[in-house]
Amino acid sequence: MKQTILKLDNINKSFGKNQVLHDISLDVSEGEFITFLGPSGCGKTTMLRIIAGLLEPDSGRVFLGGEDVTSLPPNKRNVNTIFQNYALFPHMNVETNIGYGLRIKGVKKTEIKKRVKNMLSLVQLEGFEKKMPNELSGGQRQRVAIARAAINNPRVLLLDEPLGALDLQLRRYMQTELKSLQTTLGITFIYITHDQEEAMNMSDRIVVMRDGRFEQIDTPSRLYDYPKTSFTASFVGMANLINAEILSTNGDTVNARTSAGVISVLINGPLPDPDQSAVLCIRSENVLLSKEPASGALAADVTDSAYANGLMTTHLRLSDGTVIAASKYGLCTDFHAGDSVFVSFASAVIVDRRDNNEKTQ
Amino acid sequence: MNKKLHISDAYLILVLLLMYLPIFVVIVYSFNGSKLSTVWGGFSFQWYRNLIHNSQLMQCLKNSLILAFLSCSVSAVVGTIGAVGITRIRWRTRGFLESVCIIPIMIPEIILGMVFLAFFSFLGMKFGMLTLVIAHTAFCIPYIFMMVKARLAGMDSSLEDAALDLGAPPVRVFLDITLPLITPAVLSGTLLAFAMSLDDVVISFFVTGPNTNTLPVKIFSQMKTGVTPEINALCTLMLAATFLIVILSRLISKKFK
Repeated sequence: MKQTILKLDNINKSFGKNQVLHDISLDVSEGEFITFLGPSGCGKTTMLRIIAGLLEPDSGRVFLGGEDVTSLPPNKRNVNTIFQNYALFPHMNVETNIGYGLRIKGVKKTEIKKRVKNMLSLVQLEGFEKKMPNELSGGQRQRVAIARAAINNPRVLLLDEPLGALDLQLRRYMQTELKSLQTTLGITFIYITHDQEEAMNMSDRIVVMRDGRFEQIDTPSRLYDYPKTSFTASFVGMANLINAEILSTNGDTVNARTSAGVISVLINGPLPDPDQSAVLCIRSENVLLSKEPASGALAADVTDSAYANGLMTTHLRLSDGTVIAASKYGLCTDFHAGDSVFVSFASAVIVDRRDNNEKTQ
Repeated sequence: MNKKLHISDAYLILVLLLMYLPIFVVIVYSFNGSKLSTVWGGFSFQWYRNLIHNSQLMQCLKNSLILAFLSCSVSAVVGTIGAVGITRIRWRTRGFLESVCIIPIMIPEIILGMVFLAFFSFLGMKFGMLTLVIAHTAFCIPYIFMMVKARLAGMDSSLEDAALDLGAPPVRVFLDITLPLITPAVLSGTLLAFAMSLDDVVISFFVTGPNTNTLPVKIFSQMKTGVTPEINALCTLMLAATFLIVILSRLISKKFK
């Protein structure tokens, strides 16, 4: 078990009457890449600023490497931040920008020069020492910001939506760059984003945030396969959420009544109790289409279909009006808008269980 | 070809004439060889020569320069600190405080002069350079304050956060980040204030002492005995200095953009 590097203990924060963080607690272990994922306004940036020391929590404590740093100012914490707009100092060149932290610490000039050079080669910006920030492209500024933070060997590196301003292609490229940089440096990364793809691609663990609370903390794959709430399910990947009444269970399979008819589906994770209502989360790739009726299948009409990135997505309307999505790899021309089809479900997960503490297996 | 003179062009020319024709007349007469201002006596540097040898006027010029330099130096520091301080205030009184800091520009000068006269008399202060510097500093501060405040408002606050985050204590953040970024505003504000101080008559008239006549006050008092052509030369020189300062301040703010 790796050591805990950062510990948040019951953090609360309000701005005026508006409480933005509710009892936030979290342990982050050394070398971990952890992502806070949530829509804008969910409190993730506030939390990052509290970890950096730029904001003080109303209550609760922040521990860094076992030491209580709650009331330490940002300049006394061994934590560095990469800001959303990079915040490069416009009046300093790349070398001075990157070496700023070392200069503050009183490191010798020749030593700073050497370490800046190393850092620049790490972020693949050799020879950019004398450039001014306004002469750099977005991606280059991004790298300078990373170098400027990482050169101080922080125990934790905080990244506030650092890829938000880049175009899609560069963003994808920088995702792999960041991940490999994190592996090279061995520094704990705390990453903030509202982009689920970014979170899924890079993180060891993802914390899904909603309205100042943690919705779920899990690895990307578990988050996708076993979402605990409908919010997580729909925020991470495509999910069909169907309300159902559980009729009976048979092994891992349940029979359930939905307003569009009775279905029979395999449940991943803990089974629901019979005679209760439940919300079924069915990933679009687990929705199977057929032209032939079968038991436990529902009749539906195809409303439209689209083929993008090798994924065929078909939208269907069930008899009660619910629209669900089915997806499948590879081009499939069997179903067209207006076709009547039969829908069955390969597997589902129960979300929004009343007993939220119950562990998924 | 469109050679028609539009109304807007005519209007512009009229306004410019109104503003610059009198100035132009003074400049021309400063090179007039004749002693009578109504007669053109040929081109001459005579009045400039006389001016240099007029020790009284030269002393006044020296006073004015010293005064402008001192009051601008003090108000540059005070105004800058004020502007930096006020942007850190997040409470409601901020708007009120800002108005309080800028109002001295809008108060009629004659009232400011009276106020200073009464105040210094009340304190029993001897009128001279010190009272002049205090009064000039008071009306110079708003110019610098406004310039710096505008610059700070346009500055990305995450720059200061980033410096703090990189380990700089607040004093270093100010010296390394904030100050270099607001320097152009401080300079152009100071130059503006310098020009204001250099040509102030009204306030100086109230608070000056017997031996510290400033140049504008001296020129004003000479009005009673009639304007000598030397004054034309002097005015031309001061105009040149003012234009130079304005151009300099424009260049500074342009360079740092």
